[in-house]
Amino acid sequence: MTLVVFLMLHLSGGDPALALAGDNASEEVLAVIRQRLGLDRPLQVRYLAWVGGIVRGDLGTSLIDGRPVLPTIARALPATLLLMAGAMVVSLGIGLPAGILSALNRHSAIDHASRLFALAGVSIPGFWLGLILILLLAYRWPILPLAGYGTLRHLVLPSLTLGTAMAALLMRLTRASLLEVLREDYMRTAYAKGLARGRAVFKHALRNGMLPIVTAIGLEIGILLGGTVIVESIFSWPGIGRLAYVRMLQRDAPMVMGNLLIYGMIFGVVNLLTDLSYAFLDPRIRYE
Amino acid sequence: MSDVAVGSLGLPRVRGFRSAVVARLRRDRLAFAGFMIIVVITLASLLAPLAAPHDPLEMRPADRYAPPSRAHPLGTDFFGRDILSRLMYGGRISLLIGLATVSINGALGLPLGLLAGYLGGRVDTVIMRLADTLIVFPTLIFAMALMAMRGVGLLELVIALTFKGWTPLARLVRSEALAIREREFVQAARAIGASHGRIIFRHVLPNSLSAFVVYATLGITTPILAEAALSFLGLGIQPPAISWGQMISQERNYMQLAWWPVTFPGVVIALTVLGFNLLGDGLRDALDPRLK
Repeated sequence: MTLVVFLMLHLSGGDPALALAGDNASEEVLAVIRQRLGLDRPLQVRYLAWVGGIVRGDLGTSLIDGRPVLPTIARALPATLLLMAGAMVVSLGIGLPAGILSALNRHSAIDHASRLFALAGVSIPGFWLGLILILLLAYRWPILPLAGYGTLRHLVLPSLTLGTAMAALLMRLTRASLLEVLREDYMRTAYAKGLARGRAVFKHALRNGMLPIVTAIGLEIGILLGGTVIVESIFSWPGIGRLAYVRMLQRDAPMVMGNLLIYGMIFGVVNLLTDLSYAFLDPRIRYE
Repeated sequence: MSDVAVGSLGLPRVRGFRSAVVARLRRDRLAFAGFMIIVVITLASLLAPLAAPHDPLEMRPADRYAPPSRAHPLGTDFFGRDILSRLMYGGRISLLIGLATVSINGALGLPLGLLAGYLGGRVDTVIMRLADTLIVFPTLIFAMALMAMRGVGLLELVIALTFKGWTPLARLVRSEALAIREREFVQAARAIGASHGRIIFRHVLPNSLSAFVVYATLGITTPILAEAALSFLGLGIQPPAISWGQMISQERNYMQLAWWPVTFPGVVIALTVLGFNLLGDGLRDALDPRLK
């Protein structure tokens, strides 16, 4: 993973010294900068130096402000995690109930409305949804702040923007998964032994239908992560997404590499948690 | 293929797999709606030079932010440019990037997935390890970093989107190939002495094609949305070339003055993606009737 990040940014051309000194800097100035950044060393040496740093928790220093990369990212991380938590609340809060109601009342008005929502949700580009929400809820009827960070009210629009697509995916999946489970023999048994419908659904169907949903939540967090870049830059949210975006525009290679690494690591941790949650949800799965 | 064989008494005649698929698709109203959306948007984009009501680049400051009217059905933007005409030209880029990306992803993912699934062993390990590594980076951030470092442009955009874009298809085809490899007809072919190449091309590939067709239809939405997002962030298509995401990007700071320059490109992106989603879902159901 470190190799991919490193090679991608280093073989992709673009001279950091040039980016730093400006386009019309003299050759001598460039040479000095290259030496100071260690750019005159061969690629493999630089790679090993970088990986060696990672092991010690040192992701290098920014080319732009000279500050160490890791603390800068660490400062921005809570805002992003908060935003993702908000988006999860939105997507679970809309997606799960809509999917469950939809599956239990197949071909009803609720079902049709939910499926329409699901189709729209996966088709609408996130950044556009954000702008339309701003247009309607911050300009036209100014009930929510248009950008910024701090209060719960600031969290609403970004969370809605980020969470809607995921709510749509979750709804689709919950519906499909539940429909499958509802056809199972043990559901008929549950009804036959006289369980009330609600109890049967919650005790038997949901528990068994959760597994694919949890997998999807794990995978979709990757998409949420990607979405944070856009949502954070629309709403001036001070998280790692906006940090990554701003530094990309400035071609701050160490900062961008550090950011990509952190994104990859968050994704890895989420995957691990997803795998572990299987054992919790399905007692048949055990990890040695 | 277009002629659906149905007996005069309304009884289906015996027919090939392909016409059965087409027949099932025709009955699917949502898939048909999706197909029509795609046709309309494709035609509008292809015929833009002939059919666009105005020059998409012509600036008329006097017409700045003209609301939708007969002369400008979707209004004009900050520079007085006709939004409908710009949308038609922008569609060419979106569809081109979508098609190019899906084709390259197919050219990479299909053979890699086939090889990994059919051969297994070390080949499988290497290919899948690479895919696992690439998949941890969010597509959009990965593409953004590439674009920002490499520079922006159409070619760079397609490279950035295919860099990890082949991985989902490779995984899908791999699992298909794994399953097909164990089927009786493949074992029979091996028993009568067919070579690996023949088995892959004659048996495994055709049976993985449904998966590919569905992937290509649903998968084209990813580059279309990613292009829009990248162009919106200024890391995609640059003026004077026109793209839908870029149109939104240019107007986002003036949303209060005029809602139409931001709204309509988004509606068109959403419609395009919706069309491919509807058709893709329909195709999946039609190709695999067991699912319904």
